[in-house]
Amino acid sequence: MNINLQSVQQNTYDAIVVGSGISGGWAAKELCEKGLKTLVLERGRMVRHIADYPTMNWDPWDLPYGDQLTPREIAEDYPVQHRTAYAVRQSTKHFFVNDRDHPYIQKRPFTWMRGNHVGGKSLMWARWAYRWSDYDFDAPARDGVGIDWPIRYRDLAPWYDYVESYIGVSGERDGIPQTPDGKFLPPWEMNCIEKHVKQKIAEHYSDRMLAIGRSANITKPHGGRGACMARNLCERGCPYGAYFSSNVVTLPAAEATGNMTLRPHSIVHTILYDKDRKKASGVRIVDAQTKESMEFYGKVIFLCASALASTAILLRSVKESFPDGLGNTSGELGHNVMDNHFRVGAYGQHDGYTDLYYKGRRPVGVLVPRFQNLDGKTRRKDYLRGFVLYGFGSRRGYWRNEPDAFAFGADYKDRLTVPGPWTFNFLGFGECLPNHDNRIYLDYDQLDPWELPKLVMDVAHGENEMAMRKEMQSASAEMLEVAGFKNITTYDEPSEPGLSIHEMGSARMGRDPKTSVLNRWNQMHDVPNVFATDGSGMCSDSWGNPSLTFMAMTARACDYAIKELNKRNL
Amino acid sequence: MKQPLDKINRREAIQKASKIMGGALSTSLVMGVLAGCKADAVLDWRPEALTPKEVLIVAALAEQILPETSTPGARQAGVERFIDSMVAGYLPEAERNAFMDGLASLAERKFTGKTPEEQHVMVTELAEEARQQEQDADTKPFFLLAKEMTVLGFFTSEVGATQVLNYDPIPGDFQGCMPLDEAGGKTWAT
Repeated sequence: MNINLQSVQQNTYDAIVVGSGISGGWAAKELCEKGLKTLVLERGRMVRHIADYPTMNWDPWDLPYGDQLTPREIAEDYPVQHRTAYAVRQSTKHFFVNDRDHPYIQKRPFTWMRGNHVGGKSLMWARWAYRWSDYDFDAPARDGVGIDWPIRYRDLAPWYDYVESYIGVSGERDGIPQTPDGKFLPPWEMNCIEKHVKQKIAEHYSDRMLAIGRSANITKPHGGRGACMARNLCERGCPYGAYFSSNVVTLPAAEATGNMTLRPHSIVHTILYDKDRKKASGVRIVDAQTKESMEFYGKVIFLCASALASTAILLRSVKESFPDGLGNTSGELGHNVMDNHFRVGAYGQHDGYTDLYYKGRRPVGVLVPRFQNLDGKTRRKDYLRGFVLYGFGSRRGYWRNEPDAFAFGADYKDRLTVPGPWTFNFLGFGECLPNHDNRIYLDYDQLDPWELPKLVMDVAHGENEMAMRKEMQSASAEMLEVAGFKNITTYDEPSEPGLSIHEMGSARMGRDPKTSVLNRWNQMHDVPNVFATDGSGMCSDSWGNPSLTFMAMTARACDYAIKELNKRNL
Repeated sequence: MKQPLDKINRREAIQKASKIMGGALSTSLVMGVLAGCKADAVLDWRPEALTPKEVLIVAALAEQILPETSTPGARQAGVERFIDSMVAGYLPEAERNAFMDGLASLAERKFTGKTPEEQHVMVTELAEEARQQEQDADTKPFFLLAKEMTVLGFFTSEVGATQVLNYDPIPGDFQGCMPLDEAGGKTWAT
């Protein structure tokens, strides 16, 4: 009895945060800084800033096989993670899960990209940092697809200010309502061809602009971190701490309070539920290394495990009161999974500016923010909502753009050493509509290595997504034509859900507990001391990258949870 | 995977060589000397997949594809070592077989014993064969396998990246538009 009590006491915290990625890091920082003793559970291994970035300073000749995964590694270890083609390389593979050890079921094709380690995907994210706007938060109310968001831009605006100021976002004040301006560090410069395209678009169109990307790479020293050195090797971990990751920014802040206990190798099995108090009492975990089962207790639980992993935990937490998963009286848990569709656009070649070049490797591109379905004038007949066209202008060496497969010898070699023509590539990212039929669920007949039921992905893009892909190509090609490009090629490659790594939904927010899982504070309607502040709560999608919104929502929800704790409401 | 230790050792070796030579030589010159030494004594490293004789064939073939001009060629960059690692750890079985068959055929025809001019003629024939073969072949023709590995290995090698292209490991800043001459006049290695 005494031993038991002691162990309960030892394993009791004020708050438990599940996950240490973009959202979990923010929850850890906010809760710890407000004085809560906080346990952060991470299912993967420890990754310490700098010490655990083995490849951060490697030169090209240090990387085997020209930095490519071998065909055998692709087949055996990374058949799913490799599908993005760009992300998993010799220099980054230690930050992606080995698919053999992390199985799930694809009822329909779904690429589930994961980095199971301290810092999660914040280590490898693309760092584009965009505010969503009321074009996004109003969308379901306006067109009737999905349920109305219980919040609007004004609810998040101060929290966007707060997280942007803290993490450091470089960007230009574009003055467009599709993505409101924020607290920016100096923007990156466009290169010659991007400046050219920007000017031609401005001359020819009144409905759109080419803008420099807003990115969580700091262009000057910020918050004790060094400025970006334009190496563009971010995904290996940055020795200067020049881009936002939990490992560099939020977890050190949480740790500095002395209130954080970080426990890697901790897979949350289920949430413990006290049916008398109608609250969660803690979590049961499986130690990923020993497979030992343990329990931890807390007054408030923040689920930040990533959209689908957080929902999987809730689905697994089956109790008498909740036979379909914790907090699932609405029946919406697991439904309305969304992910941007992409891999569509156009590229071309420009004959001008051959005597001009650039120096340094900018870690972000340019973009044409959404210009469709904003008002009566831009209304599209064949699809709802819209897309962004990301752009990348460059002048790649001939050696990366083989001019003649069968040529060799002295002249050929010298030709390879000079820069090739300027090229520009538009890559569209389109919004995905929420759809109840796009869902995830558990298969208890198939267990993963920790004897947890495998997650089944039953998600596909629909007609609206497919319809906008035509314009994603034609608009890209037309702008390149206007800008005087040659050899313009449109492309439309298969892009199954998950591939853009913007998966969200599956535990949506809403005003009505009958149709939603979380309320306007990312708090579960049914279990008030459980919050989910990763992508799981999103009611609908956007063209814009979601990570900054996850950060703002997390900080806002923490503020609310602390006030509620102080009022003894939790 | 190569350990970072390798790199430290190599850098130390260069620093030591620099000291021995009185520090009078530029680092790139010292590196060139070291790379040259490596090419002269092929067997000072242990091939993973190829025999020493095959290594010599690969080195001569790679040098034909990317020869020394006003800048170093494949041999100085040690491309044969990169190709050995690709054969050992990267190429799928069918491609490895195709590559090894190609090497055997060059061995039979005494490739390394020929003059550079004769070698050039032989490689021209290989390229032409590959052009004919490419459409119907399941596996890449020998010439294309050899050429792709040579180009990749060369431009990602220390010699290729730093002496043939322009390598800037820590730019410090991004300048979006400047005269090509001021940017070094050559392609950036990364």
